[in-house]
Amino acid sequence: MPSILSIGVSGLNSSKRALTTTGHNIANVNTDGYSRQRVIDGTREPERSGAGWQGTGVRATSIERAYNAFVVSQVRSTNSSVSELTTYSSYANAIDDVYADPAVGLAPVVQDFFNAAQGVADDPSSVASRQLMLSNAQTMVDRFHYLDARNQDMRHQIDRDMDNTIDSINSLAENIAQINAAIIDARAGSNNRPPNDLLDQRDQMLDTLSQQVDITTFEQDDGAMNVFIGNGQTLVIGNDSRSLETRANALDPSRKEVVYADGSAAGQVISGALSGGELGGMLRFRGELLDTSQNQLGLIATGIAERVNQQQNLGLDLNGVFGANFFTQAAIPTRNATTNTGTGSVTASLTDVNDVVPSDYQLRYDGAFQYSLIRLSDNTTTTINTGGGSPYVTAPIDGFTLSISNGAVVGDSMLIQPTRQAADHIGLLLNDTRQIAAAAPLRAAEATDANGNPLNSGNAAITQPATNSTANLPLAGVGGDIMLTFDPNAGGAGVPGFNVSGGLSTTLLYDPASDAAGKTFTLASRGGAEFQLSGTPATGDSFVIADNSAGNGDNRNALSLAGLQGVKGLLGGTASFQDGYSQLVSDVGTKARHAEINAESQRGLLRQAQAQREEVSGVNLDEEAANLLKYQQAYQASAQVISAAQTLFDTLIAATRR
Amino acid sequence: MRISTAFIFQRGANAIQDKSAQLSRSQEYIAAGKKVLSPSDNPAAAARILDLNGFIDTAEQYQRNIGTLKSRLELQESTLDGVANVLQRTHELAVQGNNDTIGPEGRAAIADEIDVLNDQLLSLANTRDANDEYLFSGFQRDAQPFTRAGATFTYNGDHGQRELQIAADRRVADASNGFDAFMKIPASGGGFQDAFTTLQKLSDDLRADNTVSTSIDDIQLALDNTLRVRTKGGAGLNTVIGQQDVNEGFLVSMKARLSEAEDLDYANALTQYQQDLLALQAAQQSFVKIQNLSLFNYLQ
Repeated sequence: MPSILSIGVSGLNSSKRALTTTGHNIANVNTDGYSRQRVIDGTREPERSGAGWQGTGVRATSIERAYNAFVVSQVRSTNSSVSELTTYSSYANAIDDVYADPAVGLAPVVQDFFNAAQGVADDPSSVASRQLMLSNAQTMVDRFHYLDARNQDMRHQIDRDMDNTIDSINSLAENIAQINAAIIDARAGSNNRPPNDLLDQRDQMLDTLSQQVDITTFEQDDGAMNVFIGNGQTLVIGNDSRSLETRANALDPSRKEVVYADGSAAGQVISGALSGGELGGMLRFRGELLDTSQNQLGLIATGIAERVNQQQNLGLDLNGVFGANFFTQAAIPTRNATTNTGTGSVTASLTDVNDVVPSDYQLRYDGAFQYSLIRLSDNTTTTINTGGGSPYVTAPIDGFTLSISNGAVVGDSMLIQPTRQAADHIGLLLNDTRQIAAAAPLRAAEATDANGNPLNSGNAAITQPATNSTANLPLAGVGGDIMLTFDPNAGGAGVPGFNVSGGLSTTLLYDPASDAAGKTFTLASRGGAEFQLSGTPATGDSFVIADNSAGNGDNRNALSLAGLQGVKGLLGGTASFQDGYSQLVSDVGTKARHAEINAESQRGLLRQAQAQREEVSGVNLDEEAANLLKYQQAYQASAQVISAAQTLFDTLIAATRR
Repeated sequence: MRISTAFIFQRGANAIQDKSAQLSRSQEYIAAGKKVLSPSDNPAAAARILDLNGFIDTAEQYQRNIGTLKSRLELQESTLDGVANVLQRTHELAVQGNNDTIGPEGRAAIADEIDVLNDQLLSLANTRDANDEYLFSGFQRDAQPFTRAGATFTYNGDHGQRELQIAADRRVADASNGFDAFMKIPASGGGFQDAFTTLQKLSDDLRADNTVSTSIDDIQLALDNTLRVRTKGGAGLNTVIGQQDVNEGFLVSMKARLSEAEDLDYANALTQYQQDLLALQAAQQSFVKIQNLSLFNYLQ
């Protein structure tokens, strides 16, 4: 027969435990990561009596925390996405604001440069307009340098942020391993009852860790939580933790990569496998946006330098010589991976900027004179077989050729960056206003006497010749002026045309009967000079094509220079310089916006998940107040049971006293 | 549904934070007066704004080119006007000189005046523009185009004629070269004769008491040629002025589009601002109300 007293005491104890737990809940109402706890009570072992099984009171089986593993993992993964997207968009916004800012962006200075070229075309011999073009060129070059430096700053910022994040990941991993050890001990020492507060603390750490990088977790039977990152690399296992570090990329030492210390000397590069969290955000920003935007900026710089130089080379400056390069163009940088064991090497040269893609390239030796050229922006691979020739020069690929020298060992790699550093390397070469090549090299005239009086009697006319190369120019070096003289039988009896004499001798067939409206001729061997003859010449009428000496009022080449602005000569003929830049701004803006929108929706999901977690685990003071009343009353009732036992006992004593 | 006390606070605080972030953003737009503060607000609009600014800058450069071209063509027009006056006067004098009633002395006096007119013609042909460059020397703007040695006149320029860009795909010829304007003038006796030689011959013939009827015809031809060149320049000027209007119209419409793309609609923005303000106040008030609710208030 059980003791009423002992039942009452068990009730008192149970109520007191419940009250204590309620108090603990109330005390921790504002503790981050705290999960509400409750006492799980059960009946004590009943006793057998004549009437059957007689209850013996209450006992606590355990104290548990209100916890839903699924909801917690949802909070963690959305948290990881939110912090990835927020990091990404904050980096992206930082560079995009710079690109689009009218005060520091590229668009206005490119515009100013070409406007100044128009100014030179308006007035080619004016020193003032030439000076303006040079200073605007310098401003444009400075702006390229500034923008590239901002990209470079961003790279260094990411390197520093990567180090900081990795430090914090490593110390969290250590702490989690330690707390794992404490949890294993606590469980072992308490018959596997959960050490609730330690578990909460560990969850808290896992939350923080998931803000740094996406993790997956797995709980062992002994209560330890194992943590994995990347492709399943173990960060924490039981009470042991591994660490991450940053190391220079073998192919591009200016680039830091995340390396998992797996005990080997080289470690395991896992940058590509990491996602989520701040670390995932910065890695994704660097690979997806920063590289592309810096390359695209470089492409515009390369385009301007290349096109302006080409046009400048075709024209005559005020000193009467062909224009020198306007801008510096550095050779395309190539580099051997630090891990290469062979002696192979590669150089690259630009062939057509129109075909250039804003990407880096990796050249990998696969053995048997076979190389793979991998375009890193989209992993498009071109196979090259040198057939043993060394140096072997490839056909143009994406606007450049490679010259490969033997000596590579299978697996050796080389990095080729056609545009990466172009915005940094562009420089202004001209320093004298006279060096701007505003004039075209040739001019045409109908024949005159020494005093400039016309000699032709027909009404034929010639247009000013345009050139597309400097082949055999100036004419003075290859026999002098070219004379075209009309002869009704130039091409044989009854076949009219112009006999060409001077440094060149050929015949241009021209029939006034059918060609009077205008016929275009090209002198391929004289700079590709292209001109048009029209009208009806008389026999012996002549035209002279001569070097444009002292043609300082000629603006034909300046017009062509200015016209480059409107030429769609980038990205396969789809974009002008301005288009390329607008694309860059809108591309970065779109990605930043996309990340912001995703971050916003993930934040909504996070709040939902947090609400769900709070719904399960959070402390509600009203509920605790009600519990307080409930357990207080239960306590009073149990006390009443003891008091009843007392009364029974007293009654018994009183009855037996007689 | 259970709800935790901390979360009630958190949610209230989140709501207030969201609303006040929105409010501050609205205020930023109003302060800047722009629709797009950062490209990520509206990437397409940001790129469009860059493009529109580019179009506007280029069109404004065309307008500057037109200004330069206009002043040159106007200079050519006024110069050729002077040339026409000189030739007109010469024509009158030649007709006078051709009259038998005038004696040799009268002819010599007329010849003297024609010499002066020829000097004047030469100086007009050597006119310089605002940049101190010769107007009629073709590409060689620094070379004095017309020189004389005794009775021989030489053109030192070339046959080039500059063009200026006045629209994306439109170029208009600058001032004419001296060859066209003064040298390649058909002569009444066949072939060509330059204007200066025509005047020189006239004065020589008057002095020598020869007949000058050929010269009178030649002067008329020179006058015709001047008129032709002037008309060509005038046509160019008309084209340029027409293009100037077209460009101006283009600029107005581009600026309107730019304003549409980047300028804030204040009415909308202020309405939005008021809404955001109201939302923030509502969030604050509900926070205060809700956080006063607690069972503990009743357990005394």
